[in-house]
Amino acid sequence: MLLNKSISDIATLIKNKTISAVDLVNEAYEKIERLDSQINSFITIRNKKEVIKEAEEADKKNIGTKNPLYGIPYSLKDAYVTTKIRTTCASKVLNNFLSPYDATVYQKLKQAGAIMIGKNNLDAWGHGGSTENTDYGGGKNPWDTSRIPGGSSGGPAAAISSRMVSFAIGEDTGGSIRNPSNMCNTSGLKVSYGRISRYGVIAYASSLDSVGPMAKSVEDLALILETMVGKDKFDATSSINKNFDYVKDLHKRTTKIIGLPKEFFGEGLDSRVRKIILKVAKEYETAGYKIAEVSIPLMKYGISIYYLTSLSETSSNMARYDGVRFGNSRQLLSDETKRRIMLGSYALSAGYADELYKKAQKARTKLIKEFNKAFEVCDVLLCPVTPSPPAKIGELINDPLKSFLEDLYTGPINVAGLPSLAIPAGFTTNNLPVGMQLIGKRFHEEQLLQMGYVYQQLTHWHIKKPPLLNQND
Amino acid sequence: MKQKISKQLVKHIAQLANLEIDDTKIGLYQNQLSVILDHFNDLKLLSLANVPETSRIIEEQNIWREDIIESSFSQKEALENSKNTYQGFFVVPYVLINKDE
Repeated sequence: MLLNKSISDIATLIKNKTISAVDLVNEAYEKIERLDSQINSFITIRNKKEVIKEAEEADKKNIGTKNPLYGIPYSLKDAYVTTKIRTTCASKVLNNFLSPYDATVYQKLKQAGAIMIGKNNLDAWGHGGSTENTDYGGGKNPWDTSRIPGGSSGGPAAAISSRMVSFAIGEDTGGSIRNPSNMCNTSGLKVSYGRISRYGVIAYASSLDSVGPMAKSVEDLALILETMVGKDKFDATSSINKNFDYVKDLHKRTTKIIGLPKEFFGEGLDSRVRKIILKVAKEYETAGYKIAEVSIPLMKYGISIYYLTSLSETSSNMARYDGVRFGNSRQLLSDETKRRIMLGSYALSAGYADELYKKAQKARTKLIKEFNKAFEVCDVLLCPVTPSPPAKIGELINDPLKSFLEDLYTGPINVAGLPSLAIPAGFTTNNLPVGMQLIGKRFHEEQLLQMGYVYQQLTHWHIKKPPLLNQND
Repeated sequence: MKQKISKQLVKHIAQLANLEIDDTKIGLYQNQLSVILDHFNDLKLLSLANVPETSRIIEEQNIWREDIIESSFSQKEALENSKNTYQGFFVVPYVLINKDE
């Protein structure tokens, strides 16, 4: 059906008036009504009549020269504030919270004419990698509903995988876009720190949080990214760094050498995932790229560096939820969130800050240097996204340390502020998706998109649809 | 796990974080926090003397804007999400309590 098509194909059909925005919106609601009770990918679905009215207006104003996202239904991770639609961040603390302002990314997509259908499920405040830490019913994986969709942007990935929306916007602090993309067979891009404005994104850890597009293919990601990037006066960390023609440059080949960082293939990596990622390396080699082994020794400490940074920052960011100016009492926070705040408070407290938070920031300096050194011998890094395929529901939420270790290959990338792309790379024998991760130099998203595009020309993993859908979907 | 943090420390951290932890859950928190803090101890193995800290990635410093007055939220909008307001103000919880009363 229509939402199974690429954004550029849909854009052409809209432009020619072969299909209407109303057709697309109707299809999105039909899928959500039929399937979402099985996967819980939405927290808030907008009133259908209102959205249809918006689509009708878009169709009336369609003069054929619009942004490629014009009239296309999408969803937002429920961590983006919106004025007329509630923002919960998956916590009852913000149940029915109506923001007095809109997130910049939402504004930009609105201006482009994209139609927001609803707001997706996540681990509350981004605290988790399984979409189980939510007060609105745990998310489920469309490839196997007894398993997690990944997280924290599990809702957006599951909704895209089930073709309920054409694309979605996620947020990534330590893997939150890449982890669920890898578990739901979708594509997701975590941009360089500073590439996209974060104004209106509920903060998890301010020195790590990054915005990014999630979609069915790399080509779609490039199209969405062009609409999202740029300096924003409301976010001082947004960069003036030159923007690229991501779509036009997809065909360029600026990468020659792919680095395989050996620390990403060590203890803890599931043998099925290892096999698939090494096969990808071979496929790239056959396509003419050079493969080089590189080393980032401090990855051994990656989890400690990442979590001491993110938990310290979140303990500070979460202090604002006092139930006075907005929201409900902080006693409604989940155990997972309380644990994270307490660990952060401890790491920042007098007597422990030197040994924990400050030490992690020193190690961060060295880790960044090691990544830079690796990029002296290669252009991009290829590695797994998570150590294992999607876990059974309940496995991670009941084992906090195990849950933390799932971020082993993604968290340290945020610590270094690097861009990283997750795309489908294959399946296990029991039909569970496995993704790969391509990591680039800061502000070189175009190289990652080019490499992902090459791979999606050579393989067809990304067009496979989950068993939740029928053939016509 | 090499060393468990004390129940008293769990309560102290909860207080620092402005959180109330149910007494029946203190033991669970004690175990879970200890396991994770024990993992963080691996940083002790690193020699980091004279290494500067990096607390943020961006190079930019002191980003200024022109001092132009722009319209902002009305008082009504700013108060709209609060459950407890009085004559245009937020009602905040007591900070100091007179124990003699």
